[in-house]
Amino acid sequence: MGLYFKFNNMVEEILRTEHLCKKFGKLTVLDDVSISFAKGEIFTLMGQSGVGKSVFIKLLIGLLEPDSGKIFFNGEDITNASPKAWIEIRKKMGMLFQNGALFDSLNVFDNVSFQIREHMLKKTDEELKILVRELLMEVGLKNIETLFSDQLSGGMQKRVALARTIALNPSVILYDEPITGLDPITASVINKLIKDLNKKKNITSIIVSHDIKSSIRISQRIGLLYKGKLVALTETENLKNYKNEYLDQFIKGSINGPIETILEEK
Amino acid sequence: MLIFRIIIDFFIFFFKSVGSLAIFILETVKWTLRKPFRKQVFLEQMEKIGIQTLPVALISSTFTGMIFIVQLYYSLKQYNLESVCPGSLGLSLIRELAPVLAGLVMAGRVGAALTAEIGTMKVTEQIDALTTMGVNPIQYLSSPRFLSTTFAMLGIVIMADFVGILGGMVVGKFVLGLNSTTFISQAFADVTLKDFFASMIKGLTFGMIIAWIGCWKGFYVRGGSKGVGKATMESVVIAMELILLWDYILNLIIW
Repeated sequence: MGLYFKFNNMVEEILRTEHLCKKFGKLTVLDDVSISFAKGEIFTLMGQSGVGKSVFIKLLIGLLEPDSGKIFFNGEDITNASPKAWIEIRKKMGMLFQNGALFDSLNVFDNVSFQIREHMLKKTDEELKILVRELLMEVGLKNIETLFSDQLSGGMQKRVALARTIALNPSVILYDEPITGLDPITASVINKLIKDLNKKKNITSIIVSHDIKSSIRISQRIGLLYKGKLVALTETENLKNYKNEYLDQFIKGSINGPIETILEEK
Repeated sequence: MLIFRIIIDFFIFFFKSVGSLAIFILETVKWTLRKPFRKQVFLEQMEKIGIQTLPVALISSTFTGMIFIVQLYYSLKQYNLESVCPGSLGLSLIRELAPVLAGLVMAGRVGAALTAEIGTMKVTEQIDALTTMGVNPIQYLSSPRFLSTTFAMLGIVIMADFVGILGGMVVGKFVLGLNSTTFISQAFADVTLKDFFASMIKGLTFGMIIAWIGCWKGFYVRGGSKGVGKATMESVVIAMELILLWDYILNLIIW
């Protein structure tokens, strides 16, 4: 069964996974993962590289299909949702990719306005211009509408990608390693943006990361994946009282403990 | 035993690839027929695929006509049959050389570009990003490229037919001393409407092959930038081989 955090009646649940399993060939990537996410919370799923963190969020947004288990969004089972239903779900659930995944053939304006134009939500060019400017301001950028992704720094690319992700006002954003490869200051800027968006728009943020410090700093809850299993799940406020040998070892970065290191595996 | 294993693995790989391509073709056709039609993307691709490839295809066809008339002239002169040179050139170009050469040039230029572009989008997660934004990647990427490559190829083949004959006429007049007015009238004398239609059908279907293979290889790229390079090379080779195979089949059907 693994760990499962059930919210009390005061907390409204937005997303839930039940006994989620995913295999690639003979390799089990996720094994019986059950997590419930509250509306407006910031949750970070940590773990070493290759433990299935990215696979987990790709399952949540339907980029991959689970072998077994269920995913519920706003109380509805979306595990086997139709392609048409997924279009509607994805208007409410955005994803920020590790390297931004900006469309390199489009400029910043076209990238940010992409979803709005695709879903035909704004009609006039003037409305679009204002909206894109506002979205870029939200992520602390301005006057870069005509630039292409190769003219932007890594941090700016992620911020533009974030502006693109929030264009349709999603209720959930999935972040795949949002600060990996960024300098500490730019990483702090991205972390602040995640927090600000969470506060201002009550967006549920599900982050996948192996950066312990920033995860603890910005999240209300953290979880730890190891060998496809959720081995730790706690509120960051209670971290000091939470006794978990996996999480202790991961936070300390120790090679001694239940988490096998590459040396031991050899 | 090893040889059997290799043969079995090859057949498994072959049938898996054929199955994957067949599904991809069906998906592309299905999504091409569905709304919305992305006019802007289609026009951009027409410009990129059609206009930018046109000079290469026309230069190839012109030189083919120029070289072919010289070869025909000196071969047929031995039998005093110089007068049939323009007619032979016209028929050969329209029926075979112009569409096939344009197809091979397009496979090298456009097929490679399609695979490289879509493959790069795949490895940089841009295709996943499209999906998470509620946009079908096949409809957004493959359908407009399929339509534009097909129609661009049709236009290029029609132009290549005429430009090839024109190239032959220039060499005929200035190098071989043939009369240009007689050359043109003789070049088209034996060409029937069926020949023109056959040329157009070849152009259309070669365009489809190039687009399908180019996009399919791009969508299924694995292994980062190295994988993109490998897929691009495979895309060109497969498209060229399929064009020649399909050309042979069409020739059997039409004539």
